[in-house]
Amino acid sequence: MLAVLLPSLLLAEGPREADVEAAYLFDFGKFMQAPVHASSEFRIGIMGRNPFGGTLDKLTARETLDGRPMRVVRVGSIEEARLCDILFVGESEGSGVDHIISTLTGSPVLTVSRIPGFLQRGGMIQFVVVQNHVRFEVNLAAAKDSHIQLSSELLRVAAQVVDEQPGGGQR
Amino acid sequence: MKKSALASPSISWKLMRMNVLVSAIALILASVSFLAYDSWSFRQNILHSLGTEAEIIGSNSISALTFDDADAAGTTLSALRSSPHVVSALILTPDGQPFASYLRDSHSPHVIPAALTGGASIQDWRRGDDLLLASRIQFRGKVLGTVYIQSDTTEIKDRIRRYALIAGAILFVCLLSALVLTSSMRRVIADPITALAAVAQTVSREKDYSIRAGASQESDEIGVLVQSFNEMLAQIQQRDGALIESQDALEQRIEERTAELQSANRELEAFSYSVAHDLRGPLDSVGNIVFLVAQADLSGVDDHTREMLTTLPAVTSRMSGLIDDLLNLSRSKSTTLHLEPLDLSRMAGEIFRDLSLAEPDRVVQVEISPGLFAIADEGLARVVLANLLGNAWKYSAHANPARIEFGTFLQGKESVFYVRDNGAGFDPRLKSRLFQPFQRLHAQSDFVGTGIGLATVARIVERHGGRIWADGEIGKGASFYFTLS
Repeated sequence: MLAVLLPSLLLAEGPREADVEAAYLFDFGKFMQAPVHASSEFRIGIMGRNPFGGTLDKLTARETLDGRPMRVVRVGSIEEARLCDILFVGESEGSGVDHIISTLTGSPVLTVSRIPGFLQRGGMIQFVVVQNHVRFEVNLAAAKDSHIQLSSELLRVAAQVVDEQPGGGQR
Repeated sequence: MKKSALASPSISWKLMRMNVLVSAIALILASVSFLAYDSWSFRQNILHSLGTEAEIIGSNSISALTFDDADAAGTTLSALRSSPHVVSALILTPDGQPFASYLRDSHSPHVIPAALTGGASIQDWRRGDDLLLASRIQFRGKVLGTVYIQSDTTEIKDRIRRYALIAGAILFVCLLSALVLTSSMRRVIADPITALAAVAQTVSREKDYSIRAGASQESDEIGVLVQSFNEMLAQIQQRDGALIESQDALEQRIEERTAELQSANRELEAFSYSVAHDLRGPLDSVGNIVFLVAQADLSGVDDHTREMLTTLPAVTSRMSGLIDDLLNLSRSKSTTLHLEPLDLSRMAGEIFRDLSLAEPDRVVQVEISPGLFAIADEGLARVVLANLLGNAWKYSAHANPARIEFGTFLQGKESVFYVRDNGAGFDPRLKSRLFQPFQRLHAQSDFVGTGIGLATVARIVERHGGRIWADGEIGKGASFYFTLS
């Protein structure tokens, strides 16, 4: 059964995965709790190449989360990334992932990527395609290290939940 | 007795029927209303728990709907397996597409979803015997979908069946206890009434008011009824006795009065007889003296005295006639009858001969039918004829020519004798007084008489078992009729 969230996502085969990921990215905010951020905005940062086109911008336009207006920002530096609530790491950043993650550790930023092995390298959520279906995997330990609480609801629908420190050490 | 034996079961039967009916109605009413309320509240309970389940499923499906995970939603729905009455469930996406579903078993019907009306977040429907409940799934102000849960109502039906079973059992027990109660009620109510009815029947049949109903030990209405009934009987008995007593007293008084009257009457008759009888002796002497005086030389007597002396014989003879009549009247009652065959024609002839000897100057046409026979007392029959023929002779004195008939005719099987004249007659309005003693219809100056004759005749005729009557008119003569049976 192919269940879909939004009719607009049915438009074409090509952009479908990216659109679904954009929607998930937007929804993750509803299932997480992080220490109070300095910024009054709920920022979703995109580091590296943007695979969503304008979809994410459209989704977040005029949306608020817990009273904070949502905003999609292009992130060029680690410092900028630190100000985001959710950071999507583009596939173009493949080599710099370790640096980004280690720098952000301890900051309440939910890191999301589709880069393979993202979780093993200390990332928090990784998009995967299971049976032609966009799903995601979660690294609970990484989230905890950054004081981000992920809702059990979110974990329930995760394709896989791992709970390990970067480098493969079990906690 | 047979009737009262039938009356007893009838009252007991009525009592039992009443008992059973009352308890059955009470029980059925109570059961039905209780059952109705219970079914309703139980249905509300089912809906409430369905609502709770729908809410839990809804909130557990938020992430599944958000992240398009139908398997997770299916897993959530399969938790309904712990509710055996839920037959099927379904989650719809906001655009009406099925997202996940649940069926209890392969026979279970699929949910046929219905749209929630208006802004309702929860709603329920009937689906045949089943209940369908829908609840909107909302998260952070957004509608993510709708969950439908359909539950069967076998639980309610089981409950109703159990209730009916219990009510039936209680009804049966009620019936049994009604039977038991009836027998005790019969002892308390029906039996005394039956006994009372039997006594009432006996009293009304035998008119015996001395019977009493057996006193009831209870001081209830039946006891009062029995007591009142007995009191009523006592009163009737008392009145009955008083009535009989006063009737007896009355009869006795009548007998006494009659006896007194009869003895007074006898004394009176004896007195009049003795007076008449005792007067006869001196009167005969006076008559002799008057005769002698009439024969004597009256030359030395003045005219006035002589005239008075010449009237004396007539006066004494009238007095003698009055005394004869009185004696006849007395005898007519007291003498015993010597009945014998009599030739009334001959007797009448003799009487007419005497009458014409007494008044040789009168010219009277007398017509006596020959061969008039009757069975009667000779002396009394002579008194009857002498009176009737004498009256006819007397009252026809002014008729010219005077005419007197004595004859008979048959009326039915009876021989009626008659004496008819063409004399003065009488006023028919006074007919009833003709045969009463001392009643005269004519002035003494017109016709002399004592007023006893016809009364004597009537008594004699009555003593012979006959009747006497008369008709006539003033100036047109009179007819007297009599029978001697």
